[in-house]
Amino acid sequence: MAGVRLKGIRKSFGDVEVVKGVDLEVQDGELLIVVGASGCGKSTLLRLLAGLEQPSAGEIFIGDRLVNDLPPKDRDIAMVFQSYALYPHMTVRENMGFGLTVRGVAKSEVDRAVNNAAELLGLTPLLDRLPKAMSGGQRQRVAMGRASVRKPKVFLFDEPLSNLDAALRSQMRVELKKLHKALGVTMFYVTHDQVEAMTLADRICLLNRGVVQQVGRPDELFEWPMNRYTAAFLGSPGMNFAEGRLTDGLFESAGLRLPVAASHLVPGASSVANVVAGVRPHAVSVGAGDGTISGQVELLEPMGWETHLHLRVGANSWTLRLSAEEARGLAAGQQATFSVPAEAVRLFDAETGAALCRRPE
Amino acid sequence: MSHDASVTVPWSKQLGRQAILMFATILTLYPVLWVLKIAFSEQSGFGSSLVPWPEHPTLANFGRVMGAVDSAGEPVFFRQVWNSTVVSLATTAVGIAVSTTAAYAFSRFDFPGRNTGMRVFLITQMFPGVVMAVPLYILLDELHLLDSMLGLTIVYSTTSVPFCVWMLKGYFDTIPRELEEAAHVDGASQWTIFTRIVLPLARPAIVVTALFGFMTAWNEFILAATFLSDERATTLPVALQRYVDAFATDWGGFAAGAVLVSLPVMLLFFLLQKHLVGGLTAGGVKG
Repeated sequence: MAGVRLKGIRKSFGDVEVVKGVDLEVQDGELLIVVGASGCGKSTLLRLLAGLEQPSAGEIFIGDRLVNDLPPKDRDIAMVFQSYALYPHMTVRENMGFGLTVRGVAKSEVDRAVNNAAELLGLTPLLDRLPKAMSGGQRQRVAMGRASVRKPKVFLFDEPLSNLDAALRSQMRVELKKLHKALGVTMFYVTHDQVEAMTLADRICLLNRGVVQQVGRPDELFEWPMNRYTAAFLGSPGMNFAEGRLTDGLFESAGLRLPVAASHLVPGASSVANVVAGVRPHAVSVGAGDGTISGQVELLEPMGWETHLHLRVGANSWTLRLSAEEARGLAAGQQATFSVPAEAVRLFDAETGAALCRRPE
Repeated sequence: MSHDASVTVPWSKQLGRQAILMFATILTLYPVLWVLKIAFSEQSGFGSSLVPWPEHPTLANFGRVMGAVDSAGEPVFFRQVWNSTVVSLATTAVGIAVSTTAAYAFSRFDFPGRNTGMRVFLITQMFPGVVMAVPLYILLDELHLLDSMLGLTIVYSTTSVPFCVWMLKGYFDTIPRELEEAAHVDGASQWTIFTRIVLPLARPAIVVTALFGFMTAWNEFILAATFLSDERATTLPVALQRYVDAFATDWGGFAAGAVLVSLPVMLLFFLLQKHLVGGLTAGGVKG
């Protein structure tokens, strides 16, 4: 087993630079998920690590070995593709054993490794089938099985669940987590799905336009985003934002009066003329409190267990998440006031987007 | 429009359709039947009857064709069958070996001259074979390869390769790259990927290409007639032509020969039919 280290990785295709100087370290045995919108460079990063692309600059280490010049086969990695990429003319057994067979491993040895991996993933009854005779979920599992047979140092996953339907996806998420526990191996996982990232990852790396926004535990990124992009990317419905003025720790803007916990503010940021306040939809409750949000109710979306309320606050439309109980007395068109605790307010520099709030020490 | 079986077509429309189809079928098959009739008939000229089957069936024409002798009195028919077979198989083998590898390179690798190369291949296909006959004759003469199967094989292979490359490249382009990347990561070399992933998946295209290569060589007449003068070195199309000369035409022998020549090609088609199916890559990627 081994960790992975990326140092100053850049990659350009023609004139377009898609990865712009990424430094990233994956601990031995860790499941790190690179998440980002499509086109952010995350798949390119994965392909660089796999050796399917060459970096324009920078160094890639797997374990202590510099692998920049090594072909994929010598990097001791396995990859699960978004499209599964199973060899269509080979049975499941041949697919899973291919990596060992081409490396000249004895047939009995290959059979044993394939059988073990198949058992772990519940693939034993499918071993003699062709990929076309299997469902999407089964193919996905075979792809994972093929990757695990060789016992590589690092697993690479390229959006492995995005071709599955919602129910199967959450089931495979659980299986993937189990697989990670069972193998205890380093996994580098790429997805655009924040739910996958939040639920699976030991740590998340959020990428935007080829630049790392933040790396950390999922709760860390969610609670203490280091910039506005991270704050907006994670969470569904997303964080609400409004521009305004911060005076002595009090944020004000049309319809908003939000005191900010003093211990959260970075030094020297108690008064700023132009800031953006962010409030998570779930942090509010009906009625007045220390921080107030007031505006006109635009729309209610009842889900049964909770209700999403769209509120016109100044020039912005905010989404608030209320319990079904709390939302009962509210109707579209009416004026309403909600409260936010000072600890739930996040501030960002209006120009750079950098966070002005941090975890108190 | 739905092609569901439950959709009823008005009888008048149906009648019209069937009539057209029948007419087209008769038009296509009549000459073939006519050749068969002459091959199995006694008289060596055209009969005046329009009936497309022989009145007194006989195998005499076939016996005469198979028993044909050269000027020295040696039997030559089976010798010519052998020539045609060897040249056609060799052309196919060389053509497939060269065009699969070339087409794969054109499909997957980035190298200078890639697009130009493909275009040049296309341009060579624009000239009729006769144009090439004289320069090729001079070349083969210089190389002492006239009247030789090797010479003919080289000529046939080189003329069929460009078309084969185009056809195969088109097919290779449709094979998902992820499959090869997966194999790369799995540890396969470029050659292993080519032979164990790409070629098996391209089987339908390769079969079609092989069939094309074989038929080109098997049926080719002009170049063979130009390069081969020794009766013992000729291929079947050239031998056939000898039944039609300036003074007398042995239509019976010609027709019987034509039937014999087309048998192997028909046989090949039947044998290879099951490989001519697409959809081999189904199930490899996506759901």
